Amino acid sequence: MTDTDQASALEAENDPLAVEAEIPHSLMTMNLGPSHPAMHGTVRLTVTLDGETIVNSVPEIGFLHRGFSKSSENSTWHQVLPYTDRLNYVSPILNNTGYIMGVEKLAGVKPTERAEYLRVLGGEISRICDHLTCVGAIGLELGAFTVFLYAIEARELLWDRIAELCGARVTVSWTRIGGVATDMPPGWEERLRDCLPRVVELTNEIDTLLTRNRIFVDRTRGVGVIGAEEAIDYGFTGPCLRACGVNYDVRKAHPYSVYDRMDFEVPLGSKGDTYDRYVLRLEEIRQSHRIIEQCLQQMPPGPIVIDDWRYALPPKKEVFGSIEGVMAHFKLIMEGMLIPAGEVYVYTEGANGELGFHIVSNGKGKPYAIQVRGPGLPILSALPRLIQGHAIADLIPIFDSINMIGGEVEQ
Amino acid sequence: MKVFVDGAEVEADPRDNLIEAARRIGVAIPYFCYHPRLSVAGQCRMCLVETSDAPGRLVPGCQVRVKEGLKIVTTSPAVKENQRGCMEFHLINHPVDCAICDQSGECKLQDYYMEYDHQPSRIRTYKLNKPKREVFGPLVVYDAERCIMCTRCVRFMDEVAQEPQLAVVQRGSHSLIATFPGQPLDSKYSGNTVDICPVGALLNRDFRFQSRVWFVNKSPTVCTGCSTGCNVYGESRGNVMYRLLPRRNEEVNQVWMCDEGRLTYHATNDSRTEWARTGKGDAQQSVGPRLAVERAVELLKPLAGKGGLGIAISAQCTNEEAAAAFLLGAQLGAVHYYLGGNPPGDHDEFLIRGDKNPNTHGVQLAAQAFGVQLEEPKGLDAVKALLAFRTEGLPIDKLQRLEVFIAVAQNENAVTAEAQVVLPCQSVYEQDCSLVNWYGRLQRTWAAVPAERGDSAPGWRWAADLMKGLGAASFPKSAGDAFEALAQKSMHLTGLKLAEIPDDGLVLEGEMPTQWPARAPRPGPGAPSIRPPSPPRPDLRVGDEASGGSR
Amino acid sequence: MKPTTDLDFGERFYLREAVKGMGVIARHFWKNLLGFRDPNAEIMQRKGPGVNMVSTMNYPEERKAYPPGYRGMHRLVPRIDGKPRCVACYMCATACPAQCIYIEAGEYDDQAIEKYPVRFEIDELRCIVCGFCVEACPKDAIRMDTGTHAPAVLSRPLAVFDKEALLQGPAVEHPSDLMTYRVPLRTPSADPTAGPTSRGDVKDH
Repeated sequence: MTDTDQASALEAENDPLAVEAEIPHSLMTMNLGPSHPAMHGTVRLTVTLDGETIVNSVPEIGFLHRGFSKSSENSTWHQVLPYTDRLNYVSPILNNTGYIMGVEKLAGVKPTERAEYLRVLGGEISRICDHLTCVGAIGLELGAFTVFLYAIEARELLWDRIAELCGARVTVSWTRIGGVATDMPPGWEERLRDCLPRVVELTNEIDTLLTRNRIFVDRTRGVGVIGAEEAIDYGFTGPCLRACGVNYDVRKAHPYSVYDRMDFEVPLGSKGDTYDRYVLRLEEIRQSHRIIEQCLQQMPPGPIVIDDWRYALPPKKEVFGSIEGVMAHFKLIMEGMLIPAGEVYVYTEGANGELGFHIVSNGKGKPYAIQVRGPGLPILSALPRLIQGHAIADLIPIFDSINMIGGEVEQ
Repeated sequence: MKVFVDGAEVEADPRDNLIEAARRIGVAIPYFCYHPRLSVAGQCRMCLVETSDAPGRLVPGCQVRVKEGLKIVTTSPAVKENQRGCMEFHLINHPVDCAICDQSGECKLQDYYMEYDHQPSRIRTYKLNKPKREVFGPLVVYDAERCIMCTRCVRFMDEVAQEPQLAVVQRGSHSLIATFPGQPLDSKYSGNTVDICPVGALLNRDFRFQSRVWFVNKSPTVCTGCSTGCNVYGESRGNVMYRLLPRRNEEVNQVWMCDEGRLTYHATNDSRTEWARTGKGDAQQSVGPRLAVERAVELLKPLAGKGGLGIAISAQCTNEEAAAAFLLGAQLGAVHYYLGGNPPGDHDEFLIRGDKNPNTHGVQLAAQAFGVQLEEPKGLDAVKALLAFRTEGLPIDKLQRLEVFIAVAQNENAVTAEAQVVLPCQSVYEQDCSLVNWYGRLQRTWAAVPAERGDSAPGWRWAADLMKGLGAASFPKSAGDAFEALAQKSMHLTGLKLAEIPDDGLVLEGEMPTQWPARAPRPGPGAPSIRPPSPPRPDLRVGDEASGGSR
Repeated sequence: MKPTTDLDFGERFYLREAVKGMGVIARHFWKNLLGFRDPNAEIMQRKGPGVNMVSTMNYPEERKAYPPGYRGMHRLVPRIDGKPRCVACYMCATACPAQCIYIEAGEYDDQAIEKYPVRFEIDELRCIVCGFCVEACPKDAIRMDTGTHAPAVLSRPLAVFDKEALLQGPAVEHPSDLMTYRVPLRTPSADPTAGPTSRGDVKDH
């Protein structure tokens, strides 16, 4: 018996925990995902467990083979839109808007007033959908299936409205340079006003079921905590950052589009745990509802897309009947819009944080390069830190509360 | 001579007009009717600019020559207003035809509309109806409604083709281009009228509706129709070629090419030998390149060095193919070499040469370099085994009595049906290679077809595979290797490498003819016969004058 | 947002909140149990006393109609004479981000509009239903207003819809058509070089 062994043996006599540590055991490495129902998209977590406690974890992305940046380089400016739909596929309109704002900035084009309102309106509906999905799923993962059904019911109502507005439920590809593709169909506003109270009612029911329920609170309070400073260091944005008490919302901090005319609050958490992230999302649903109401009130009549044939397709009447229209149309489709050379970074408030597009144009009809700052990536990078020391059963709720979306994390 | 274009100083040639002077510093003055190689018409009024000589007035940039210290303004409001007005007028009677018009995508009206107008027309009137789809000749179809009466085609036929077959008839907005009664547009250069037509009025019947122009890749290559070796762009998609367009080379074809040459790409698409095969008649078997070469080696090996073996080389072969064939011949101890090729055809004083092969000159040079005597293929009786590189001009009746016949062939024909082994050969448009034209200009071609077809490979690679199979220690591994093997032996090409051949070719010293057809473009006085290595290759995919477009 | 507070005694006791939650669920339960089921596909119109809260639809017996403007399966729009409006301009194929449209152009010898699609195929499996083809069409010849989606198929080739399958639905005419569908003024001259104005054979593109 060596000296050190003797020393540890002596220590073990005094410390019951050390005795326990003597019991032979080893760490277990376990794969979660990539194709696992709880993994919210195709991401893989290699978790090292000590019993039930997470010692370490390594998230691995790349299973979706998105290739967003490279694909974009081979598409015209408008053909990139379907790719942006699939960044965060629960709130595509927000992505469409973020991307097209960058292109507009390069082109020096200002969308029409009505289009701005429509984008904000559609974007906030999308945000509600995104938050409902996250909130519903967190209930589901803690055993409250009812909550999930309520959330999905509300989301369905909104997606039906989006389908009527954009022509597709999820893959909308709705924005265009200088405006949007389709206007509100007749009667749509009333239908939206009809279904919004129901969405709020369902949200309130979720609130009643979960927020003060001890089982839920015990499972989420103090779980997955991250401090404000650390969150900023990791590059957190959006609900996850605000749950730590940092007041940063791009819509307020750097208002874009018509957000400066909207009266809404930025809810803030304090502890930065799963619970705060959940409550904050519920509150944001209510704030988005306020914005939607204001949009509907303020929405001016007018064209939904600009009348500049260098960037926007001419109206169909001109294309069918006049040579000028058809020429502009052909040039725009064949070559794409010739966006002046330049480089921009445009950032908007996506459903999960700052959605940034870094767009480089070389004056051609196709982007020279596009990079996305998906809000999910910095947050995902903090996941090992968030779940360390927690039980394996807490992993899924924590993972859900950061609401990583595979499509935008991978590029 | 110094002039100022929008304030920037330009060193212009005294013969320049304002358009050319501005072009020297990359300032584009738009024009429809002007063409650098045709007389000035001043029809379209699109090129009006302001000059210091005539303040407050607009002058046509095509017609006005530069003079010392002239200040040219191309961006003033008056100029812009004129450009917009011009476009508006040109489009009054233009039909809404982009959807069915083949010119879409390389149409000057479209390009200039987006650049100088991009606004709806203010003119609301009925469009004039004119004849559509009028067949002008074997290659050209005319649509009078689309025509903007730039008269480029009329001037081309008068001045370049020198066969005045087109004229302007009627007056004012009713005017149109027409052929003369009983005289279709059947000039051998009629295809050029399509190229220079800035709009979709004249269209190529061969290319019409085959593809959209923005789908095809445009790559530089050299026409194989005759020994002129016109510089062309080959347009292709996948493994299909769609058309050839002239590429500018003032010393070979200026910016023109003949109709026959335009159609030579069909041989690259149609009736190709796609797969390596052995056996003839019912015993034909696609066996793949490896087994086919093995079979050929098996047939050739007993004959090596025994005599009675001949090698036939077509004048369609590239220099690299010829060099590799001669190397293989030396290894096999071939006793007879035959020069085949397409039979001679018509010729004229401009671009068309009677020798309908692109590389007769090159094959002869290679034979000279390898010390080989080329014979007429009708003397095939002297051999009992033949290895043919490309099959043009081989007498079919004499092939039947051969004991061994192996063909490296591009197209299926009666000759390939006789071969015991057929090795599919790439066309000239599909390979990196070099050719020597009738007056001794060594020209480079690049692979113009992106996708491969079947087993086909360049002829030199088949020769190299056979050499390898027959046990040679060294054999060409690339087109550059094959060319170097030739350059080492040829006194004309000493030290030259394939990659060092300039893009617009280079004249071989001592090969220049003494007799020149009257109007054939020729190297300028004092043109260096071997030029220094060329500067970095420009982007040859950009359109040039001849294609009439701005792609 | 109010700062999240710790649970008070009642909440910590669990039962009070549990009962509240049960209340919500019970309301749904009783209404669903006793209320009658309104099969109206428009869920927001399922109102009135006695209607239960289930928003489910019993597919396939009950189906929700796609809203107007919904991007469904493509159709090639016919002209009044039943021929496709399409002139094979390839705009849709160019605009398509998924490259799912395949066209071969041909020529009518007897019509003023000389170009038409010999083949027009859409691979509905590749299609991402973005609607760019509809937007890109300069002839209003392709639409996605069929109100249905691409059907399920048993093998991939069956998802490639050809011209005959796509050419359906009501014919469409625009006032501007008159400009392009008029009769040619002069028939092509009878000279020896006349014939089809384009090469007859159509190649792959």
